[in-house]
Amino acid sequence: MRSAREFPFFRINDLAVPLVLFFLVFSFNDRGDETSECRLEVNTGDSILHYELSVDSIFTVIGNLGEMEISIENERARISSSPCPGQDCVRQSWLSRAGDMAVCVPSGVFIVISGKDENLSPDAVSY
Amino acid sequence: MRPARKKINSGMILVILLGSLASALLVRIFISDNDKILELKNRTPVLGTFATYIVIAESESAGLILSSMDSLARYLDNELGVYGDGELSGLNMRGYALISELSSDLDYLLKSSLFISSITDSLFDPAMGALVNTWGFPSDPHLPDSADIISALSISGLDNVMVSGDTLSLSSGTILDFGAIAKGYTADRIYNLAREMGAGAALVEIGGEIRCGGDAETGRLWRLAVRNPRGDNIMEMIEIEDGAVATSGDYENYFFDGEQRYCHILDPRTGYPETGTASVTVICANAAFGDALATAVSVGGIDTAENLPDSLFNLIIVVTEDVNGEVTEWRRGGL
Repeated sequence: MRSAREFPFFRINDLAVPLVLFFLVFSFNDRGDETSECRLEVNTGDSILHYELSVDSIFTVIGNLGEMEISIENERARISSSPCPGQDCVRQSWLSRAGDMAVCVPSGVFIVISGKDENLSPDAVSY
Repeated sequence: MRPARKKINSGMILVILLGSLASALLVRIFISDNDKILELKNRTPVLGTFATYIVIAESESAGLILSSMDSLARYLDNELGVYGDGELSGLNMRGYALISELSSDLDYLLKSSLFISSITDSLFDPAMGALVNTWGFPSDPHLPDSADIISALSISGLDNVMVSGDTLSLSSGTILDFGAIAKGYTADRIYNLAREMGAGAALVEIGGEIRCGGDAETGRLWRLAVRNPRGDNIMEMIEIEDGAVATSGDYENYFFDGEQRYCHILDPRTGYPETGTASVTVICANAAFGDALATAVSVGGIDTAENLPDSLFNLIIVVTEDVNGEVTEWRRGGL
């Protein structure tokens, strides 16, 4: 003989659909926080800009000394021109892996690759 | 009698589906807006350089903490600046002040500077403003006449700062300039403010001087890069939970006169820029001491670093460059 049910209009299995939906909503919303591709983070002093490494581009940012040109090509990035006297930042090779960084101290600008290995990016630079 | 079981029709399924969706969204919004711990980051110009602030705090207070940090930086920038209408500028113009009336900020800077000077054979000296002006740093650096350097040197240095009872007085023309410790001190003050306002963790970087930390629950391992003094890449990646990293380098502000390179770090013994030290990085408990020690070791080199008390630092990294351009790295301590 079956025991009497406390909730005759409700079975435990009825929770399945709401629970699935509940987790779907959470997982869908969380997916937006994940970084699926490497990006270029450009710290210009008064702002932090992000660029997709997958899109080839050349753009200009304003540093302490004036305009700097930054290039993205074949999922790599570099400072391609700078008004700084030393030009060390321009001579540096392409950045391609998460955590790679180029700093132009006179301009107060640094660029860093962030992405799948975002934990490799530094929180700050001592210089 | 067994109660009749109601059939669940399609309308009820739709209600359950929509109800579930709504409740999930509501919970999501509640977590996002009320209880979520946010990590906010801001980078802004201050103290003649750039500052980075990172705050990890509850969403309702994180923004206020971040803006308060920026306000404090600007306040200290004015009060501790050599020029302008702040407290230090006023002291320099008057040539004297009552010690009991100094702000806690200036009092701390003065006492800390005297202490660091005492343990570095006066290689750290906050009374070098006249000499700095003679060299034109930072805006118009140039090689002065040797007579001008000798003249500026005679009114520079802590020998020209006198304390008598409650009165602090300066020799005529002597200028107090805390530029070699103020960025680190400001980083410490802003960090402490963030924690006092409820930030579970925070990082402050001002002109490369870093102070960071956090509590056991919210804090995390901070990844701090140290710049290679002879390139734009990273020389060292440091991971710490709590502490400070300060670097002083000859690449920050320099000029060439012919083949000779002159940097902004002046040797109080000679009146000329230091040579031979490319950079000094100090990892220690607070950024003010790290900032001042890095400057002193830049002037004194490895000899000075070898004689510092162990209790003042965790790790010192000195990068030297000889006359042939050969670069050598030297370390003392560890993390």
